Amino acid sequence: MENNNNALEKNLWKVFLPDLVKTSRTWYLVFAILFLLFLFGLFCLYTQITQGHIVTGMRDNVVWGMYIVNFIFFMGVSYAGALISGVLHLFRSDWRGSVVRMAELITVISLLIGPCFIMFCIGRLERLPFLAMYPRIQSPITWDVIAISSDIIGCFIFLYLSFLEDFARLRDMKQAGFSKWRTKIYRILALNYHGSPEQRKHLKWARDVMAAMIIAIAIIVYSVLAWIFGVTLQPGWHSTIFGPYFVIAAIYSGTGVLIILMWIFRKIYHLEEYITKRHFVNVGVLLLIIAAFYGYFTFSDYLTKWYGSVKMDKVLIDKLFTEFYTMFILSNYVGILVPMLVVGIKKLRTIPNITIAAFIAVLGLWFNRYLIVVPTLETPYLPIQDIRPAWIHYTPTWVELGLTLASLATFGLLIMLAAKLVPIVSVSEMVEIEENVSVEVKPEIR
Amino acid sequence: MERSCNILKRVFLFTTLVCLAFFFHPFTGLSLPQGGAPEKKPAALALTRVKMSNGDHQMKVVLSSTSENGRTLLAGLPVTFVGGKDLSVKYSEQKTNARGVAMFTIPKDKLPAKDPDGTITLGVKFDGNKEYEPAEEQAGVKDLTIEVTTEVADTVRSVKAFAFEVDEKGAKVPLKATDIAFYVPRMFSYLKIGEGSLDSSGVCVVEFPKNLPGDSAGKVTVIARIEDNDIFGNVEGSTRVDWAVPTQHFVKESYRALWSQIAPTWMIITLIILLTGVWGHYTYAVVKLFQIRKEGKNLSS
Repeated sequence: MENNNNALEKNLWKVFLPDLVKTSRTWYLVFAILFLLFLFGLFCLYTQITQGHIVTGMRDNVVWGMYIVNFIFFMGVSYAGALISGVLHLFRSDWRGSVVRMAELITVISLLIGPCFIMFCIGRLERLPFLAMYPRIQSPITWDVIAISSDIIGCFIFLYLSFLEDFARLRDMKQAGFSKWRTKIYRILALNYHGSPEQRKHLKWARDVMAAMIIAIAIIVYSVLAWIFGVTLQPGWHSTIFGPYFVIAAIYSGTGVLIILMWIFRKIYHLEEYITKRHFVNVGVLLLIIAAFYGYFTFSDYLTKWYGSVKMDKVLIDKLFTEFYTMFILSNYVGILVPMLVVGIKKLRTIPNITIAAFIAVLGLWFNRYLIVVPTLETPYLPIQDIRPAWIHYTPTWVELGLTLASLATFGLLIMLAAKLVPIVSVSEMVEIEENVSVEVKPEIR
Repeated sequence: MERSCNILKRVFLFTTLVCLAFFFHPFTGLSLPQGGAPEKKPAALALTRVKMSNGDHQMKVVLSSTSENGRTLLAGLPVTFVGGKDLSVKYSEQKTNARGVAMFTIPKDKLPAKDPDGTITLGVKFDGNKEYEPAEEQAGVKDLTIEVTTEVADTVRSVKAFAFEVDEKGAKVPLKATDIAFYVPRMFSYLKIGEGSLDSSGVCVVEFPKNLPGDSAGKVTVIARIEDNDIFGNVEGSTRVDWAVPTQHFVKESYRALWSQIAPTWMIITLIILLTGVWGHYTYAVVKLFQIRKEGKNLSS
């Protein structure tokens, strides 16, 4: 059986090693395009810093716009990545090997990008240290800062633990032809790990503990994010179900992003053997279940607001069904029903269909965030008087769109760089699964 | 042929009539054009005047219009407060609020001259507009004064009201056999604490209730009031006593609150538990990493 494991490992390295050692022209081209987009984002940021927030669509009333939408979106994606990798690891799922690393990368990279949007959104950045110098524990913003920073550190530790074995394997690959500096990096990062029983025991304990912790902290982080809205007396926000609703929505969007990434990496690295239809269907079924929960929460939230007929809630819902009609339908009908139908009906359950359904779900979720943030701020309890109409209604500007585009490009860039450092599929995890399967299935042979 | 023509004519006539009936039916909201200017709606003023304890006259008027659809309160329209026998003294013009109410207080030194019979006439006018007809309302009352005093007999605390007119010679003429009520102002309305009838000397005494909440010093205003009297209208007199129970109306602000500098204890405890739990586990994982490193060094050596 050990021979089988060795064969599997050899095959895996055969697939991934060339991309770790050599860099293709296509890689450089894609990297250059994404880097240009990133530079454009820097230019947008420079424009915003030099000319002020007047270059954005945000004004006195609608003080949160696309930046906060993106912040919630990326945080949601990161949360789902943490939850999926944590759960699959804890339950020792036998199909996790091909998926967990992508989920972990999604988590960490989204966590790095998401909070940047807060910096873009707020003015007077020089006051930011005051948040740490004079914190008020009663403020949800303080909760958010504490929760997100704890989450980032926790996710980094978890990611590092899952990379450790692969770093050790890469360090020991003398024949791979890595450059000196790279070998040195692997040596430092591998922490003298040699896979001894004692080391494996330590690593297993650490990973189990961290897997459980990142699930818990991700729930707390996303709930805290929801409470920023929930504790605010604004139409559409002041809701007790916002915590669990945000958590469910986050898992939904993150699952969608994971499916999209699985499809992309499957195509790029020709991973048809390792990321099979089974993986897509399994993650797709998760998407279906979460879609059902998400639909239930959405309906429950809007029904109670509509039935309560509180004046401004009614005005808000009327606005959603008139000014934001297309977005509302795309977000809360198409974005929920299409993924459910595609995964639910067996004939439609193909890899491209599931990927398209995931894309629709992610798009729907982004619109959902937009509908939570913008229409509410356009409908305050206190009437907006004597203000230019252009200041009441929010429309994102090219600066905001540019920074959004740049954030997506940065996401791609960091994924590409990470894929250059370690294999995008966890080799050690795949080998471990193979070992466990052989132990469970054929104990008498051994 | 002729018969069928007749039938067609009848059908045409019937259809035309039905259409006309439909279009000009009240439910359709259409009507035949009317000649001349549209009719104005009637307006009405309901005036209430109260002689306050300081001698000023407070006037309150409600402007409304009553039609077959019911009573409508007229908001944002100007009304003029006037006085004198022929309402020639103009005091002030006020606009009605959302409830059709306008108020004005006439100081005692600005009151119009009394009529020969001692009546003081005050009124209010609405000049009308394109939609509403003009309206006028006046109330003529004789001058009456109520003096409110207090007395304590044994442990019983009483409030005494003395109502009187002042004749030409300046002598006090007591008002007899008239109902009078005693009130204490509360946050939203007056609380009645007693009532009675003026005796032959124009006096009515009521006992002050025990355990009545007052301000922080236990002070409270007692008002004696004659209401809707045919000759004197509404008249009141007042005094301030310190017989009530001192009450702290403000809530003492907590040192630890949502809005104070220092967070509530429960919040700090929750945060400590959460952070200890999370960072404790992180520390455990990092310690495990150090152990892995140490183990690796041992293996290498």
